Amino acid sequence: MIRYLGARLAQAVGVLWATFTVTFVLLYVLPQDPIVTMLGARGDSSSLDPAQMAELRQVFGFDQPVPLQYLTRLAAALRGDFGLSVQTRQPVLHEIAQALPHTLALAGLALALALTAGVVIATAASYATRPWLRQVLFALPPLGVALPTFWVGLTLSQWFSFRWRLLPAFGTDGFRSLILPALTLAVPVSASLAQVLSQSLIATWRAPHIGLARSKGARRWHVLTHHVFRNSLGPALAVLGLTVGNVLAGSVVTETIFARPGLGRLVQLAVTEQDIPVVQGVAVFAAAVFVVVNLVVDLVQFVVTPQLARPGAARPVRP
Amino acid sequence: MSRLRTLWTALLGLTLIAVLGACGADGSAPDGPTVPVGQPVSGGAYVHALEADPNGCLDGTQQRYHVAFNIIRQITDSLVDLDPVSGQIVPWLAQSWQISPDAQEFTFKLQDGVTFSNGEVFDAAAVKGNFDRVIELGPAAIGAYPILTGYDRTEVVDPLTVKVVFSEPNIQFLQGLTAAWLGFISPSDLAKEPAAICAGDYSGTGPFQLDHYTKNDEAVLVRRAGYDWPSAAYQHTGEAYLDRLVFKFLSESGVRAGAVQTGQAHSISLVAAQDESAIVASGAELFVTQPPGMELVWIANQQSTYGGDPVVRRAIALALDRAELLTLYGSGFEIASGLLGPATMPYYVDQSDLIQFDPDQARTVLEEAGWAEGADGIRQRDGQRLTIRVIVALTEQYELLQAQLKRVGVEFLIEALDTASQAAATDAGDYDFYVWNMTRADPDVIKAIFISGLDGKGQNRSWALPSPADQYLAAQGGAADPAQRQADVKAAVDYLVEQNLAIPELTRAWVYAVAPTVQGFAVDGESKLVFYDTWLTD
Repeated sequence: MIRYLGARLAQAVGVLWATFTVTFVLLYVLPQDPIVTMLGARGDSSSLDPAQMAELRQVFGFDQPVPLQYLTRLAAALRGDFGLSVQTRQPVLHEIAQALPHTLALAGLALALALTAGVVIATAASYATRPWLRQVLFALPPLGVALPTFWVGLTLSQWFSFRWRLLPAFGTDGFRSLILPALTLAVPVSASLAQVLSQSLIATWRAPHIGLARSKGARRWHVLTHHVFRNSLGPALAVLGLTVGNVLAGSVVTETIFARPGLGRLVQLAVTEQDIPVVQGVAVFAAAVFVVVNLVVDLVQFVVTPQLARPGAARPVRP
Repeated sequence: MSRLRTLWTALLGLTLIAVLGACGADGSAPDGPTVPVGQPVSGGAYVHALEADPNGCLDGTQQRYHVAFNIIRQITDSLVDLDPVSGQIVPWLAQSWQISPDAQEFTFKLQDGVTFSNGEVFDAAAVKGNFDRVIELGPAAIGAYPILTGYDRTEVVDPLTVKVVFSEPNIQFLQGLTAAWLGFISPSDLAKEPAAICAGDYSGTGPFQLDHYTKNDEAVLVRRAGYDWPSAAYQHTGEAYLDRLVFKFLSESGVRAGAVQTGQAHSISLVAAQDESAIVASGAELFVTQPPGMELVWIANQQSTYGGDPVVRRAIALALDRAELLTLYGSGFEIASGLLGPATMPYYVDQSDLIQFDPDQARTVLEEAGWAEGADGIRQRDGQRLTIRVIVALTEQYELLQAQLKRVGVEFLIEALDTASQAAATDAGDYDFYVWNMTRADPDVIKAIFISGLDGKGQNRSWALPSPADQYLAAQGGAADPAQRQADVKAAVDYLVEQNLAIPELTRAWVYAVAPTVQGFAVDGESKLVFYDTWLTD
């Protein structure tokens, strides 16, 4: 158990370090002069005199040799210091901390909706006996995955906010303003969950021990709740870990459409404005969230099926 | 001793209010405030949806982004204002002013009794502190610093008299003062960190004060109690009508349109052409304004291969089908009638006779210069293809421009550059033409763009070589006599357009949508929103 945990932790740290390094190389080293890139995005690099450029270079630490810059930034990042936002001159961590609660609320509600919808659709699809109903239910998840998030968002606000005037189309005033963005974000997430879970449910229904249970006279509902469901949860659980990544990615589009000041909007604007420290800070932060969630999922799976950690055992299922 | 010319503009301002009222009544002024119906009512919370966040900064001195000024304009006041209808400069925090004949000394008589929202007094020392701060910030004061070109010092003559002295003629200073980038913040704010002031931690003298600003979400302003020093261009005196003014940042045009149709916003910025009819059908009104300044213009890079070639320049000027380009846009866009515009812009020069569409003539001009049509329709000369490189700020024009130029045998390769690469190409002068417009209600706007000797620095997108335009561009900046200045401006813009060094394309427009419950929706002389006179009917 300790060894398994240790290995997973080392892996997590490795992923974070790699994220930091890759973003450092992509953002700071590859483009010509980061200061010109950053100010150029605002269209005013040419109006700066060289002395001021030098001063800015010093403020952001670009006057140092690259390896030293890397080590300095890495050491600072370990303390949670990702530097200053070029746009606002506020610490990156402060910017993230300001945006985080909005994304947490959105992601939390979206995940709850997605889990409920995903489980209900997958279960109903595999449980239904009428062929046409099964077909309709099975067709829902691929449809949900295929719909672009911005289309879902605009359509929902068009109908629920602009036509029927039931809910606000933007803003952060209370729970009502959270509903449409959470629904938008929940559609693709619930769809991918339902896809995996329904496949897993079908496979389990066909398994020999289920046939045995049925032949002993157990009712279908009893078999579903006592035998099929538990045995099908593994892959869905693993997918849940990946889902957190989807939610973060989906928040970029969702928060832009519904004008919510969360992490997704922060990173979207940081990219268009070439606010390099913010982009790196959010990337590493997102990686950290992803890594932690997957670590937790792995541990839960380990508790459910301890044999996974035995030497030579199969790795957790990663669809 | 030099003779000072006195402008008793306070009187003029009062006259203007009367004229303005008359204009408003018959609704004949397209850029003026909406016609008020009934008696103004005080109170209410107002929501305006802007098209973007103000780039994280609400300090006018550190800003140049028009979205930000729409908010800042409500919080800070300026010394003088630009009347949007007459194009005249009118009193505001300065009751009157004198300009020395050499346009180097500006003396202002300040209004008495003006205070900042933190209680501090607005006086000559506050003016001096604010101007000195701009010089301290240097180029980081991206909007304000160029207005103070040649700044020497500010003298506090007495608490209500202040004199600004320049080391060179700077006539555009007066108009430059009207914009919110030279709005005043309280003396105790001046020492604060630039980042703190950006975040909104300051007090202005304006009709509203900032309650809070959350990046990417909203800026909430509340009415300033006791305000009684509006500009002479406004419609009433005393406090603003609205209790609360909320700016939301909605980047999706469809969401903005839906918001104003359903009353989730009282007004919105930047109405997309495709949303106009639905908005009008819902009962909301469109408010169209054309920002004054340099029109959308093809600026030739005079040091490039084709931007420096008079034949190619002439052919392009003749080949642009501006009427066809208009089909891309909604209300308010027009074919440009000169380098400066629209017609209400101070020192405007009508150059419509120099702007023609004649593709046959364009082909002839190129043919005569030895550019023969190749097999694919693109002209060649001595094995060289006629391929021009253009940076266009309005990317929606790309495909039409490409087709229009191909009709006369000029190839235009579309290069979709990201902002950083575009900035790099701009800095390096790596283009033949730069298509750009610039808002500023003073003809000085074209000086930095078209004067020689700057070699691409700052706004010098033309990489200008010495030409007869230089003397006129420089002279208009020092001409305190309006008639002389008008003559200098005309000589400069006529030369630039006749030589096709500047090829005017379109007049741009800002289109706002305003809900039926809104009265007194207005913009200032540079098309920035002003909510001082705005009120809600229920």
